[in-house]
Amino acid sequence: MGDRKSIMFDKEELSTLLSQIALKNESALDRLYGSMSSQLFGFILRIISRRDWAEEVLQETFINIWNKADLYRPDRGSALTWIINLARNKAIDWLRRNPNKIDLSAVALDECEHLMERDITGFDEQDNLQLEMLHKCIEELELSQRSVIMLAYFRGFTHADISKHTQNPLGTIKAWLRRGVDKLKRCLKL
Amino acid sequence: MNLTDPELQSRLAAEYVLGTLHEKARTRFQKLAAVDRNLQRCVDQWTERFNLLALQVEPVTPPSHLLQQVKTRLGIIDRDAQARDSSIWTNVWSGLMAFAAVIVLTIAITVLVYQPVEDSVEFRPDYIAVINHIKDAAAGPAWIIRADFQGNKILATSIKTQKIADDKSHELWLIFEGKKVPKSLGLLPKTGAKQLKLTVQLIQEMKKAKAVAVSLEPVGGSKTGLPTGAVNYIGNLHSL
Repeated sequence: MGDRKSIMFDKEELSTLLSQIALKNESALDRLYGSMSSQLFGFILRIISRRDWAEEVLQETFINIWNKADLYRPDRGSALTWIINLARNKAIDWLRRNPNKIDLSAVALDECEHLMERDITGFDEQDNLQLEMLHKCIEELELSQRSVIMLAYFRGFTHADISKHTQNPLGTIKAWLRRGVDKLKRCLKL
Repeated sequence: MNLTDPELQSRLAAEYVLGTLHEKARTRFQKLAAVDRNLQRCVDQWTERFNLLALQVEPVTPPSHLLQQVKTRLGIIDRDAQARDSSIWTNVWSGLMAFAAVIVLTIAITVLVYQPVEDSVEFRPDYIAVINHIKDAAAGPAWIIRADFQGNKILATSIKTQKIADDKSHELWLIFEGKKVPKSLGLLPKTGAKQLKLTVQLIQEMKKAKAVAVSLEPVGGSKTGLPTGAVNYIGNLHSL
């Protein structure tokens, strides 16, 4: 494991900021941008790989946050993961709208392995527990199972995409993913 | 495939969140999740877990001008110029949404406390709106609107008797963000409950709308297809 990094997200604060943004409060947008933009930009860059396109997607993400903040429902999940979900959906939509713009010829099955070496802290106790559990459970998966899950998450790949880019049979990819998800579910006690 | 099997539901939800399902399967799953709370709960659980993975990536500082660009695109740099250029409904929208957001917190409590007799098993609301007076939210809701997409109907329930002239009606409108004009959903009851027909086209429109508003119209409703009288009531739309 690498150095532990501290992330300054306060769950309550993010939720409050979203409710203020729903009221079209500009300074709340400024504060949310200040606390989330670097993490989101790094994440979007990981999915899209090109800086100028990632900048466009980051802009679209914050426009979406401004326009959809009133749709956030705390009973269905944390503000942090709601915001991350908007960013990921925007990035993946962008990839699917522009399939020829990204060079995917050199996708390796285990290209996301290094991401698991980064250790995160800085959440409240519940989040820390969830994150540690997720880390532990993903590490317990076989490399093939872990890799298809990570490729799907960080590249927005479908089964067929993973099969094509890693040159493994479609049935094999589906089986790896199915076993990986089942094992993850049991481990996470979902 | 037995889609009531919890194991299969969870697996499909995980794959839906990851985005590995092909388009047809994805669309089918979305339709199922829209009416199955267990499936929706599985989606929420996996969304919450998988999105923690995003934090594994090192943060990268974006260019300093990006926030300014976001604000320019949102039109919140020069509000006065925007106000001059925008249509009446853009302005109405902004005002109404600001108001509606304030009363969002009252909705859950209202819905929990208020259980109308019409809330039977055959009525399965997909969307709900609690409609309050714009200038007097403290007076409590005037109507509760519940839309059942499968049943192609809206149940509009008056919470308190509406006192209006005999030659007037309250008309319900879908309100959209931006300059898109409102769409009429029909006339609201002065008292009690009333079912309004919800066409497939209106269901699609409702999915794009953010709020509903109520205008005071000549009896029988607006003759122009657009609100002509005062818009005194508003409610945010919430999917269930």
